[in-house]
Amino acid sequence: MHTNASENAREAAQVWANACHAQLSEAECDMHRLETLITQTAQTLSASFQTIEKRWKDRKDEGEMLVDEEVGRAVTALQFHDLATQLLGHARKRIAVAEEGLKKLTVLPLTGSAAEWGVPPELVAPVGHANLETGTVELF
Amino acid sequence: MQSILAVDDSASMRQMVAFTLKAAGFNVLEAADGQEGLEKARGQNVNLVLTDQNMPRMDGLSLVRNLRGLAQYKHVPILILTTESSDAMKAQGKAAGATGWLVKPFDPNRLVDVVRKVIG
Repeated sequence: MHTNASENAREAAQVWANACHAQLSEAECDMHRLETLITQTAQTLSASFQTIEKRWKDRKDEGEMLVDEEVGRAVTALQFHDLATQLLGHARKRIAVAEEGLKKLTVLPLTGSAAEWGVPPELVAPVGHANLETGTVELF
Repeated sequence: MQSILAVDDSASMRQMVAFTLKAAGFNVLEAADGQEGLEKARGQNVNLVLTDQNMPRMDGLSLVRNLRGLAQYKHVPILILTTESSDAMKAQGKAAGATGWLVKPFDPNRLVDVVRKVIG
């Protein structure tokens, strides 16, 4: 009786572990798609604002200062691509760690030695930004 | 015209830096990582190096240390432009010989001001 219950629990755990594998895999695909979209958006925006900048500068009218400010904002905003790419790269590392952990959970015996399990790597996020406000400047 | 070497593995970031600094009258050279940056810096004299920190092959701090080991870059300003903002990382940058630490994203006008200030 006890053995059957234990087997059922293990089977259920296996189902959950398989589901985690599948979800993590899908999440990775979603992030790849997101990265592609972000890259295309950044390329399009970049080309557009450079064209606008050139046309306005050629006119040398009173709107030049206003356009300079707008272009400045665009330059700051377009840096989101770098931030987002780093965040996605980091998320991929986290998913890889989770996947490795799940594999260990499904493959390794719970009675095995700790050395077989190893220690999960500590990941430190390179990007702590929650928005696109400009960063600090510090001269040494 | 003064030359600036912009080192970043993000093509869009290099594009924004180049766009900003070229508009301010500087000549901008680009490199996609620290290794390429070091090779380009060796090949010609630049007046300032602006580098990212987290890059493949060679990171920004290693690039700073390598450049400071070259006679021609002993006193050339080197700014680190990165998403990293911890005090520990800044301390490492200072110890490596960086001139300053700028956290992304940058404001174009402010970047030009800082570059003009350190380039002299």
